[in-house]
Amino acid sequence: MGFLQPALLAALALVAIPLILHLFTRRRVQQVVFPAFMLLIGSKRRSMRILTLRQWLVLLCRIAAIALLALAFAQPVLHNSRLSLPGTRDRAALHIILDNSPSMSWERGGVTIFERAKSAAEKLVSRAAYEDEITVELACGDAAGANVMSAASAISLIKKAKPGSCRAPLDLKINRAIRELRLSPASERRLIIFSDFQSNGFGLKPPDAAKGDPIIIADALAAGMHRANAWVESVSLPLFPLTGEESPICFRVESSAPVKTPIVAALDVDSRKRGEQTLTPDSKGTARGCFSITLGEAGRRRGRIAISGDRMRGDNARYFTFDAHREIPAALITSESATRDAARGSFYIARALRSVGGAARMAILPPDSLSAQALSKYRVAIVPDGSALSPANLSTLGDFLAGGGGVFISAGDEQQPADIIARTLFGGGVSIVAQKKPSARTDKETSSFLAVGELDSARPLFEKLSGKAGAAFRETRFNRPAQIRVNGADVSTLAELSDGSALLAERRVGRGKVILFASRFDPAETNLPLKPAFIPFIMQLMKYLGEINRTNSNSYTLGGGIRIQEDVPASVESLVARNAETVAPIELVRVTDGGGGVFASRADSELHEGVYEIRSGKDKIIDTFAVNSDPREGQLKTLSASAFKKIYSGYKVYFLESGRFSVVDKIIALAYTRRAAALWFPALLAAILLLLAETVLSNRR
Amino acid sequence: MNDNNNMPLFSPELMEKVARLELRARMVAEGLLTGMHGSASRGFNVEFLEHREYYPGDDPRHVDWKVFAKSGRYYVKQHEEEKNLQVYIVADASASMDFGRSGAGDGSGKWKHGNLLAAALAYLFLKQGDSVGLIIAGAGGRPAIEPRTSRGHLYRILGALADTGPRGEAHIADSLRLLGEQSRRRCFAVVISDLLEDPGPVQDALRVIRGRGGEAVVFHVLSAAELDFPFTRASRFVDPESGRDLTSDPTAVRALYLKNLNQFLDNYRDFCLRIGIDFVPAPTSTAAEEILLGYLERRERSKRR
Repeated sequence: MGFLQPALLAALALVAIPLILHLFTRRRVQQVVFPAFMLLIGSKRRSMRILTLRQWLVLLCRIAAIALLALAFAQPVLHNSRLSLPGTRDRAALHIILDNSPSMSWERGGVTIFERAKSAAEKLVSRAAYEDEITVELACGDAAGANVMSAASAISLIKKAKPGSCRAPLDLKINRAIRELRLSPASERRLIIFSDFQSNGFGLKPPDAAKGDPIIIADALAAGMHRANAWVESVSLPLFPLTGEESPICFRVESSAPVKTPIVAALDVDSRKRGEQTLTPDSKGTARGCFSITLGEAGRRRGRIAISGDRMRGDNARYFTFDAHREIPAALITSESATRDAARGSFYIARALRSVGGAARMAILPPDSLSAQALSKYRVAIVPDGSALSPANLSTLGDFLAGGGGVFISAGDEQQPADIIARTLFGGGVSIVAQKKPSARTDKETSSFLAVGELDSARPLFEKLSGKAGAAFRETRFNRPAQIRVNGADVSTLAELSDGSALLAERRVGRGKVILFASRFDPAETNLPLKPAFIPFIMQLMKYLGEINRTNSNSYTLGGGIRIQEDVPASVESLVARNAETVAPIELVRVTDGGGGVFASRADSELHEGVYEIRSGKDKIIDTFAVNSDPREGQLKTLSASAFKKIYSGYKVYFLESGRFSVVDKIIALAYTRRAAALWFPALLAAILLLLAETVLSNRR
Repeated sequence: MNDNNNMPLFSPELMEKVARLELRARMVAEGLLTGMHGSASRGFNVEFLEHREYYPGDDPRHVDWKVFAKSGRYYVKQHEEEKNLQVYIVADASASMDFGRSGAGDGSGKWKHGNLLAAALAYLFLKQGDSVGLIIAGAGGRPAIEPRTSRGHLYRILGALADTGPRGEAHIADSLRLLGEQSRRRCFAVVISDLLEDPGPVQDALRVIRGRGGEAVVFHVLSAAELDFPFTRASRFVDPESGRDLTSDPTAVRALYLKNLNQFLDNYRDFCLRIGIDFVPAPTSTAAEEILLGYLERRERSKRR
């Protein structure tokens, strides 16, 4: 038994009134001087007994009538009653989670399952009674959750709901809804989820089941549907793209099942269509493609690769940003004479940089005149011989590195400079054992050649070393190179020599990076400068080093927040990021815990797919970032009924599969139809009868 | 004149009460006489022989043997000595008579009602030349006023009535017994009482009076509340004479009370009928002249028969 208005039970305290009145008036019996007293004798015992009995009956009637009136107003209901009393239903608290993630945009018969979910949710809410608690929450919505709202507000919210682009955190939303429903005073609590139940939305453990937990009603709208979806899994951007040269933009398309129909992929850059191609996924559902574009202008560019050919909207595009450059400003730190000496590696590097035309703007900086100011004009510093640098030179290079520059340095054959290199540029993360190089003319017997060993060809550095160039690079020999051992966590080996020591070791320092080469490029030490792979290698090296390590990710996923570091004055408290594809900008506010210049989006910010631009003032773009849906949304791996019930094993779960047939009526039945017998009417009737009895008893002569 | 000299000295207040009572009594009596149409010369002491049932104690000499021969029953003859009847008015001044003074719709109080009846009867008797005495029964009672016939004697009676307040127990039986014992000749006892005491002794005393050849009439004074028992609220009923009390629900005891009352009345009515005493209900809700007129008419009718 329960009460729809339990607060009114406080009126039960009113039963004290007749009790008090009874006790008070019982002592105030009127006194009658009655001469015919003798004729009353004999009636004493009976009359007193009757009087007492009647008084108690009257009191009982009054107390019971008041108590019944209080109970009637509290609207008692008898759960699971089989009585044929005037019916009512218990006060219900419904928490509706409407999944508006991209996977809900799957079409069937021209209608997306999200539209069907909206229709069902609207129908469900429209059946709510005035006293019911309704909460409607969008899976890709306010991270702070939702509050109880009126049915009209709920319907309005449902009608306005649009498919979002987040990875629906259904587990989080469900867990929170369970906790909120536990606090509801309503006797009947229901958690209703309209979703396609993508398995990627469930990772969190639900709260331990407890008494009073809501009944979970899951409407699996995609159940039984064969959904073959394709989505752009990733986009590979060119390394340090230069204007005027062909830059490849590659992408990978994945499909949750083999897609027989071809997928058409299109590339837009700065809202201009730059290419289109048709792909057929392989047996694993993967298709790869590349667009080669030539960029005419330097600067920050916006791009998008969109695919079509499946029936799911919302995950068919991937946005990205990249910077196009006019040239690579590189400083060759060596003496001028060395660049003219064919026996020195500087000569071959200078020649290689000159050979690429305008792609590289090279300057020769002698170690004697090396300064931070001189280096500030360049993105990359190349040191053909580390032995030629003084400790001061290395310190300057360390500052350049920390400022975001790229440094390429050869270990040289002097131990002391090598140690300083290891210490200042690599933070002790490498150990270098320099080896004196014998003169090729005098002691050929002492020469010891090593070949290229393991090579991480997936690294962008070696992107150009495929095919013949790659084979030629692998045939390179090194004569007594420095022994480099990597022992620091922040140092990685890009390539090894045949003896297992590092040929190329990289360390990222802030926004810059430094690469240590085990050998100089002198012909006596390596035949690499003579190989056709040398120039591509050097160019790729320049681009790789020229690409500044971005402190910020330039791509964010919907459903997560934005956290970005910007070099703006300390007085700037917030930044505005605008998405060309949406009207509403988002505000990024300075967060104190992230140090200076860190800005983050608000929890209630509504992100959309696309490229956002952060402008300083009216025109100057200070940063851009792309927002994309979680690629996992496209995988369309739905949770089975048994898997869902297993996750929420402690709860009473109804997993309804409405892929083919609407189950909204059943949901309404489950949500509302646990009917209870309304006891207010009998209670009111009994109270009236008792009041009548009280009137008769108290006025009976 | 002689009688006037015996009159007590009344205080002004008492005098006013007496005057008021006398006035009312006269109005009642004159009204009665007017209503009886020339019957003013006839009263209780008109000269005629009368038969009445023989009761133990009657002088066997008075038995009318002729009637006995005809009817087989004993009747005694009334003698000429009945002339100049000696009337004793026995007024109940017990606390139980102090009831109904403020009762709504209850007429006057029992004591006042009884006083008026007593005064009117005294006036009537004296006017007919009968000697009238007064016995006030009750704690507030006083020595009996011996019967006199003088006109001024009325004021002694009225003064005694006006100067007495009802309180204590009445002991009507004692007063009647005393009357029976002290009266030297046949007397006419007029009992004005609510009779709310043990009926046995009262009836015994009445029987003695009757046995000695006396006559009696009982004006049974009861208030409307006593007749109807209209109480509804739980009440504590207090006996004004004994002080005993009873807390009760009136609605629960009403039926029993009325039953007891009817039995009580029937008992007296039967008793009075049996021994030849007039039993006249005199509820306070009925006017005194109406009661007296009704009674006198009934009495006249019975004489004619």
